[in-house]
Amino acid sequence: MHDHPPRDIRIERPAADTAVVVFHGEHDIASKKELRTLLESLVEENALVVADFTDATFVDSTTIHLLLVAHAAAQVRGKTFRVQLGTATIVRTAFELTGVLNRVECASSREEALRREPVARS
Amino acid sequence: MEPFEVSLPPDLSGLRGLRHDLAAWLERVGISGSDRDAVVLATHEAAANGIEHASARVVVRGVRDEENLLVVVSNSGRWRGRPWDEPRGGSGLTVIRGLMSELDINVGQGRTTVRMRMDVEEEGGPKLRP
Repeated sequence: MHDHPPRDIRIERPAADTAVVVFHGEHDIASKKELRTLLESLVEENALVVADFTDATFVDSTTIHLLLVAHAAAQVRGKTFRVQLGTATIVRTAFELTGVLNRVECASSREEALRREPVARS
Repeated sequence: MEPFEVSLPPDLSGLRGLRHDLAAWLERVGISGSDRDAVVLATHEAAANGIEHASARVVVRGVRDEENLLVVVSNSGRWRGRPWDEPRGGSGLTVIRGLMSELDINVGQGRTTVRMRMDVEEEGGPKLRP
């Protein structure tokens, strides 16, 4: 289905209409096209999509921008797109500096990320 | 202390290697932890912007003295559109401003130069930012 998913990404399916995109390692502008395609199709196919950056070590502003695009697409379709973040690292700093945490629901655990009710914005 | 200099082809796949080389150099000149990570992210954002918008090589230089770490990202060649006309709403610039003590962008004569400075401690340890 997804011919060329970006490296260091794993898709989990904890429920029929739910996809969790687990980001490991480094994610940057070099895989922009592949990530955009992946997120577009996951939002199309699922009611809830979680982007989990707990184990990511690097993320740039282009990657974060693609999450905002996916979030907007989910909103238009009446679906939910959430980010899951771990503790303080440069990854969390990047999210904070871009202001995305004010716009996208952000969970601090998988349990919270998979809830059916809205998660508070941090 | 030895300076850092890397010349990148206009290819986004080279950014990962830049980040690793820069992080190793920062460690060698006594900058580690969150300050190292901040400089790497800021430099990545500047270099990514240069590669995306220019059709020429991007040169990244770093120097550190007792009180300052300076990174300069420059490229010559024609720009497609305005240098910092980012489709992502200028967030790359916002990230750099949030990470570094000082940012200066100079555009002119076919060359764009991004200079970023961070305050560092004399002993070589990272200084906590407010």
